[in-house]
Amino acid sequence: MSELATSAPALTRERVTAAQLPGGDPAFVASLRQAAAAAYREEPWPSSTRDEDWRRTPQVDKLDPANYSEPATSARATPEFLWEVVRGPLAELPTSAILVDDQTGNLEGGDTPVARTLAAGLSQDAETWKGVLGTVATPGLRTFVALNTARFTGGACVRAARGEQVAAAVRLVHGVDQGSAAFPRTLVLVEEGASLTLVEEWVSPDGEADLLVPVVEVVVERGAHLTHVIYQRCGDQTVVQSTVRVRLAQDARYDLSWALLGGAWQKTYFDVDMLGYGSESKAKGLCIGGHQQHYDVQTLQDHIAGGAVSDLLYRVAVADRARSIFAGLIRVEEGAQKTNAYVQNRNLLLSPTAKADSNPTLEILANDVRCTHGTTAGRVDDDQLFYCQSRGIPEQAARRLVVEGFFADVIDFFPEGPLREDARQGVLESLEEMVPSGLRTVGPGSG
Amino acid sequence: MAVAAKDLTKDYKYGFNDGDEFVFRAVKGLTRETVLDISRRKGEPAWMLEFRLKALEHFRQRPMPTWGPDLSGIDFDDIYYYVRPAEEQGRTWDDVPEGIKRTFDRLGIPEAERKFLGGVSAQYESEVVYHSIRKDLEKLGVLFSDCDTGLREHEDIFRKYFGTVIPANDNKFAALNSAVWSGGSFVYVPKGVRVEVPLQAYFRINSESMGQFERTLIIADEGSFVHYIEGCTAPTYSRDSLHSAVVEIIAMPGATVRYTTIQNWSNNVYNLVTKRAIAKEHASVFWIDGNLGSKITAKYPSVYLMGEGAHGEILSVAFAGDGQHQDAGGKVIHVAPNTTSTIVSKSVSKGTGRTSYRGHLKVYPKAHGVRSSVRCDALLLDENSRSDTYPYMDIEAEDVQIGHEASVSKVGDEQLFYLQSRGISEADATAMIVNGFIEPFVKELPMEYALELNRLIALQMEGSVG
Repeated sequence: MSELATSAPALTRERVTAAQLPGGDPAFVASLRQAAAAAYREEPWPSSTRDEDWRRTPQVDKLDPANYSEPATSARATPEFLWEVVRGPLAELPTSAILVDDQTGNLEGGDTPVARTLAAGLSQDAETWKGVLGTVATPGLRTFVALNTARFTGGACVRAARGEQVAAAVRLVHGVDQGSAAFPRTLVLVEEGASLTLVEEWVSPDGEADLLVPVVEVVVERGAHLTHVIYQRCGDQTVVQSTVRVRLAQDARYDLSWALLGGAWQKTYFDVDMLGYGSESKAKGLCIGGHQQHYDVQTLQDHIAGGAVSDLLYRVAVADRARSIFAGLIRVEEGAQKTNAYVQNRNLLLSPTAKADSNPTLEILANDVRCTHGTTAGRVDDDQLFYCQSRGIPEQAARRLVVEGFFADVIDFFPEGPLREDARQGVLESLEEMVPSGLRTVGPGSG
Repeated sequence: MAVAAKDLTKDYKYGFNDGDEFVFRAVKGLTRETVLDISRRKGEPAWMLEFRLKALEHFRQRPMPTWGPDLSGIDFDDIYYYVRPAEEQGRTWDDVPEGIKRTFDRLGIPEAERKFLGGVSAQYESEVVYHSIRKDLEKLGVLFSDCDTGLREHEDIFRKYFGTVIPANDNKFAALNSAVWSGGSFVYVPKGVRVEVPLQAYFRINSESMGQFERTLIIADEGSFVHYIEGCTAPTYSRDSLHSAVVEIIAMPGATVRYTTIQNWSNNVYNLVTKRAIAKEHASVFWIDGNLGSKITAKYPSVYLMGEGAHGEILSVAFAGDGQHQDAGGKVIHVAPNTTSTIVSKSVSKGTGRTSYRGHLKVYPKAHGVRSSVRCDALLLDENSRSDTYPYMDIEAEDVQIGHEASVSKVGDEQLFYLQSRGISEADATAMIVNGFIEPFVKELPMEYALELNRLIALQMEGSVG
């Protein structure tokens, strides 16, 4: 371990205190953090026997930040692996800002009205961000939101001002390395009638046991539109506990494309609050797991106002001993009439030892609604393989085609251009890396 | 609340009460003495008393479940755990005491028997008061009796299977039943025997603050077939009653068991039931489960597919009116390869009623070739109605085909408009659509039950529009 690890105070739960932004916290941030730190110290640690949320993810202690060192707080050169990501396939993407966040609190990249470091945004524009920070993801909501709130140093404030159509995307790269625990916070505000594309990348090097606890708070105001893309390409030993919470006002639109392609072990929350009449949320995600990867994804579409539409699709392929857990709740509150909500979870099992748990749920307290969910689990369809083979495609290639085809509708939901190409490439590489054994072994016809 | 109670009595045909008539009633509350007393009065073998006492310990140690419906209204100390209504069990209808006979006459029991049943058993409070089985079935070696008689006269078979599907410590309410069980049905169908006519049991709670804990054990030996039907009613009292049954079914290789129940308890009964079946090689088990009555029902019939090629099917319908919570569902556990299952759940919520589908589908790693489909549909009739769907799915095998779909909606405006354009009133049209919605369930029922169900739905639907 580097000297970072030895010099940093342990993030033991009983001793966790509020951190500070570089240059100090504005008063409202400091008081929010104090409360969050207290909540984190006092809240019982999640338990797989007591908390339904954690029932299928019993190894909660992997998430204990006490087992990791604190991220560096003073300046250091931004590590090379982050620059590699920046120069990677998305380099061609037209961007209005690229921010590289290595948790030192300094973002490499532009400081523009659209994208600022968390420290700059919160201190220069406190009035605006007061209405976002801790209001979408309240610290009391979950243990790890409290932890992130107490400890965030890195992160960004992204904002499209009223009526502004930001054509080029904002790109955020959050990284963690050197066996440390990082708590990036992203605040997004798309003001009335504005539109914006935000691309987030969560990355870490292979071969390091790092902990990444990002919290993303999104507010889309009346008639505004956010296109949100999240790529997770963490290292093979990184543990991730992420929370994305979205609040939609009247007629707001939110589109999320999400690729989970890396990390050892994961617990992820995605919640969208349909707070305004006529709001619309579409989220499409994909996940490819191999080795002993563990992905636990929990989603909520909370229809508080009526007349809103939410749609969520999550496609998973698991190979080797990988395990996927999905729980997706559609909740329609009293009076939220004319709701239209849908959840779909499709699981492809690529090896006999892979596991997929699926638990889509509905809680409906209004009657004039249309709420549905569907889930499937199965292996590569023999009929499809047979069809391809009858057209002269060798079995191996046919199998690959079918698996790729399985993800097509999620890939096609990524914005056209480098983002979609990158998603496609990411899927191919992951299949290559994680699934080769799975692609070879299954099926009675393969022997 | 007073108004609601009145409405219920109005709608509930079986809400009459015939006055408490009993020859023995245990004191209220559950103690070791209560259990000793029940066992002594039944003259049971020592192993059963031991089983009961162990179960009592499990019951005391287990916390109340924290999931599912609200059970905080149950006061375990304010319940009569054992009420014996008559000295002897009637073999002919004339032997049954007058008051009890009147009750069952009003429910139509002997009438039903004359019509089409192979055997009938009627339980009043804690004991089975009337029992009969057709002579030809008896000759084939079919055993159909109450569970106490089963234990007394066929201890070898009884002991071999009793408590093997649902152990006493399975859950808090199974433990409670195991400690104080009384009555229920015991069915044994020998190898290769097909019982073509249904066997029926009828359960009636008549006393206030009464707990009924019947225990049913059905064993279908290799290649046999049996259809068992169960109905239940209770009068409406101001104080709640508790019904906590345990039903165990063992379908031996190649056997088929159908279990049909229409639960129609009055709206002050907590109905907390554990029902589970084991299906061996190429056996089939069908649960056809209707939930219309009770205040709160928590019931999840389950099938453990233990033998290759076994098949399980659960078809359930729930109707929750004002103040009711039907927390029903089904569980299928695929342990063996090439097993198949289907779950279809239909639920309707009206007024402040709440229906929840709670299911569990599990496929174990070695269970290749499994196919399963789970379909849940819910209709919400009023703004205050609520519906939940919680279908847990754990898939640990790769060569499987699992599908699940659920939908929640209100009665379709277009359907209503179409029917009204044909001159049908809105109320009739709504009832018609609801009947159509539960059609897949109704068509699985014997004719008499289908008619009765339609009538009950019509009663529940009264005043649902306007």
